[in-house]
Order: sequence, then C-alpha cells, then structure tokens
Amino acid sequence: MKARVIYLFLSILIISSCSKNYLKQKADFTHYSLKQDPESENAKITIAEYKIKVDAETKKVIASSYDILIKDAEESPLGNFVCDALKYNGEKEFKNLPIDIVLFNRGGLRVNLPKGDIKIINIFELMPFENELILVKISGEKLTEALQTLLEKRHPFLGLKIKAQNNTLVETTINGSFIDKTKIYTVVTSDYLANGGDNFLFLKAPVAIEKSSLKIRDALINYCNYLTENKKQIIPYTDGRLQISK
Amino acid sequence: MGDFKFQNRREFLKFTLGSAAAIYGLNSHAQNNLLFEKGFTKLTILYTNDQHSRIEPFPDNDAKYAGEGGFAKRASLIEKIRAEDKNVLLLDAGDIFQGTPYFNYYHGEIEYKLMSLMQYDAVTFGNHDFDLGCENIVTQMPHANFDFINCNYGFEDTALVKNKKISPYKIYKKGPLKIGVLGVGIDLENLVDIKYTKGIIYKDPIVNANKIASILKNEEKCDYVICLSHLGYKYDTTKVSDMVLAGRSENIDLIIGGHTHTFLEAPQIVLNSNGKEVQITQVGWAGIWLGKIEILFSSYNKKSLQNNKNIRI
Repeated sequence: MKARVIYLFLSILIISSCSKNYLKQKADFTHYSLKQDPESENAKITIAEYKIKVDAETKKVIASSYDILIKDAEESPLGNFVCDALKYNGEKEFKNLPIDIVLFNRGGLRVNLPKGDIKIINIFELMPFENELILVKISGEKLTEALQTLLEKRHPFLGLKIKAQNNTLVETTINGSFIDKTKIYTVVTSDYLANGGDNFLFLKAPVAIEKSSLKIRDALINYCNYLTENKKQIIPYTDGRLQISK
Repeated sequence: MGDFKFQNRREFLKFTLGSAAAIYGLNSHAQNNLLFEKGFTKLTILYTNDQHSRIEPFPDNDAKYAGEGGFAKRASLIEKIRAEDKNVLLLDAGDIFQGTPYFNYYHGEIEYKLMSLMQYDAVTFGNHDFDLGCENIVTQMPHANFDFINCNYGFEDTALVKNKKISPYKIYKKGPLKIGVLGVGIDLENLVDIKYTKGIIYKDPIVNANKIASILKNEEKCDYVICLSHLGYKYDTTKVSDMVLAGRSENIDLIIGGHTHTFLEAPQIVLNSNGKEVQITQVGWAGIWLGKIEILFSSYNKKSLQNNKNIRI
C-alpha cells in the first residue's frame, strides 16, 4: 500500500515536471498582395453605411486647375498655392493685420493636386490632418533662425525672398528690405507648426498669438470656392521667392 | 555548439517534411495533419501595420497602388485562412488612423469595427493613433474588440489612465502554444501636435521591452515572444529603430514593425545581445500587403531536451 502511494506520488511528480514546452523549428514568411481578391460581404455591409456620407461629401467638385500642382520642387507650385490660400483665409480670420509672412511645412503637403477638376477628396488627400490656422507674432531675430530650415527643407513660404548658393543663405529680403532683428513680424501658419512641430522651434514662445478654429483643410476648400465663385482657375506658378544657385 | 545543433535540426526537418510531401504528394492541409500527428504544432501569424484608414482600395486613378488594399478584401482573405489554419494570431503594429476622409468624418470608428469583425487579437499604438488625442481613442474603444499593447508610454495623466483594454503585454494561448506579445511606441515629440499628446510620458523602448520580454520568456514561460513596434525599421542616425532594438534585445523572437512604411520581402535577421536570432518584419502600409508567418513548433520537455543534445543526423 505504502509502495503504491509512493509510486503514485512519483508518477504525478514526473508527469507534472514533463509539462510540454514548444520550440520554434521553422518560420516561413510570406505575404498576400491584396489586389483582385473577393470582398467579405459582412465587411462591405459595415463599410456601406459610412461610405454613403463620405462619398457624397468628398466627390463635390470645388475648383478647376490649369495644370498639376507639384509638391516636391525647389520652389513648389503647390506650396505657393497653399500659402496664397492661407493668406486669403488669414486676412478674414485675424484682427492682427497685415500678414507679413505665411509659413508651411513641405511634409505637411501629402499629395500633388491634379490637373482639371479639384474635388474635396483631393483636398482631403493633400491635407488629411486636423491642424488649424493660427497667427503668431515673432521677432526678426526668431525669423532669422527660420531661414536655414526653410532653405534646406524647401518648406513653402510667402512674403520672403531668399537667395542662396546650394544650402548657404546669401540674401533674404521681406518686402524689399532686409529683416530687422528687432522688429516684430506677423506670421500665419498652422497650429501644429506654431507648437514647434516639424522642428519649427522658432515659432515657439511667440510675442503674440491668435488662434482660429479654422482647419487648414477647410481654409483650402474656402480658397477653392472663392476662386470658383470669381470664375478663376487655379494657375500653378513660381515667382522666384526661392532662388538657389549652384 | 547550440547553433550547430539548431542547424542540424532545421536541416533534418526540411528533409523529412520535404520528402514526406514528395513521396505522398500531399497538399498543405494533409501536410498540416501529418505534422500535427508527429507532434509538431503550427502557428499562423497574420499582420498589418500603418493601415492609415485605407478602408477602401486605392482609387483607380492612383499612380502607384490603383485598386490595391481594402479592408473588405482583407476580411475575406483572413476568413479563408482561418478555415484552413487552426492557430491564428492576428496583429497590427500601429497607425491604424489617419489618411482618408473615413478618419476625418468618423475618427476611427469604422477602422476599429472592421478590425473587430476580422478578429484582430492585438495592436500597438502608432503616432497617428493619437492624432485626435487620447480622448478620441477612449471614444472609439467601445468599437474595438481587441487588446492595445504598449510598455513604454505612461498614460497616468491622460484619458487613457487605467484603461482596461491597454496593457504592457498579453499572452495568447493558441492550441497548446503560449505566445507572448508586447508593444513599443515611438517618441511622439515633433510627430503629433502637443495639444494631443499632453500628459503622455515616453519611456525608453529598449529597457522596457527587455523587461517585459524577460517576464514573458522566463516567468510566464512563453514559447515565443513577439514585439509589436512602431519605432520604424531603421534610420541613418542613431535614433532607436527595430534594428537597434533587435540588436540590444533579449528574449524577443520576432519584431513586427511599422512607421517607416517599409515593404520587407524577407525578414531581416539580427543577432540579439545574447547572439540569438531576432527576425524583423514589416508590410509597407495601407493594407496593400497582409503579412503571414507560419511557424512550426516541436514539443519537448526537460527530459527530451536533454536527449536532443545527443541527436546527430
């Protein structure tokens, strides 16, 4: 009897100590490219109720462009268009006028705008973020700090004329005169950048700040509507505000 | 010595499986059964990263990805895989949100709903998941029937404090397997507007990942440890990335990455701080690819592991 108990005890001990673990022997990595695959009916039903509203809103044509607006260029036609749109909206939104400068970040422009019909969906794809239009006042000294970044990163701007040789600043003017380090300049930009986003640290701790609740995306839509109402087409252009010699 | 043994075992396995399939002309399903009978267990990991609200396929006029991606296609594919493979783990490495008007109008509701329908097990946070702040994640969470895993963000001063769906790690039992999953996120400074990240504390991803991985491997005795990472694949600078993490890690077997939108055809293999292999993978973005890893595990106990040392083929 005693021997039996011991035997039982021992077998339990052995069984429990032999609880299984698993060792990886082989791992095969593959992927599926989702192209012509069938769609799940359940998922389609879920999507349908959201799609109705999204489609109705985003397929509206709001403007027409004479040509494609390219985002990645030394001086980008898309960047110039966006700066014009922000200035137009800033003049309506803010009391602190006039606006000296508009600043934006190149990385914030997500896609080119096509030639022909500009739909709301195009503006969404260009500007998916929820950032808002903001006005900040900064000293000429802070503005000087911004120039190297504007040049190197090819950020869109309005109000300045920058001449450079490769990545070295040669001359910068604002309305035909040099930047006065002691003067205060009025800048319209996005709240994301004003908070120091994308290394726009020179916009942090401004002399004055005026917020709006206007999304950058809505500012672009407003500007498109304004152009269309005035029977104007979007004409892509550059005006030599950034001149880089090699 | 140890490596030599693995090499042999792997070659052995390749040989036996290959010949069995060749001799009997088995299809993969039959092969699975054969493996199962022989004591092998298969785990199928399916994964995405940087879905960026791409609910519908890219439009037909898209220059690069016309017609590619789409949640409804992915859902049916996953359904098909689940019908064949028993032990499926479905994961995402962050940036579920932002990129199409679906997010702008509905703030992530439809993304979470569809991922719940596909039965995602777990996700980690990407920077864009904070694009409307922690409050928005809280608002959308009722639509999410999966776990949120991160071990290097402190949410104590945010709306996500003590959130029951968020944890530093989770253990998933798939068949007899115990799979540990942890998650790490990128420094949000300069990536997300500070008005939305206020209160989120960023902690060292390597230190915290190693701490959690050790718990999973050594205390919880997980058979396999996966790190969901939104650090990014690699950088030209010294910035922490999946490559950096892998090299300085311990106890992590696999890193499923995101953020850099990298399409990795094959896993990147890095030796960790103990000289053991870590595999890094990432499947681009926007659900253009669905990643799949099939892993075969053999069972052992202390006794048989002892015996294994003497096996020579």
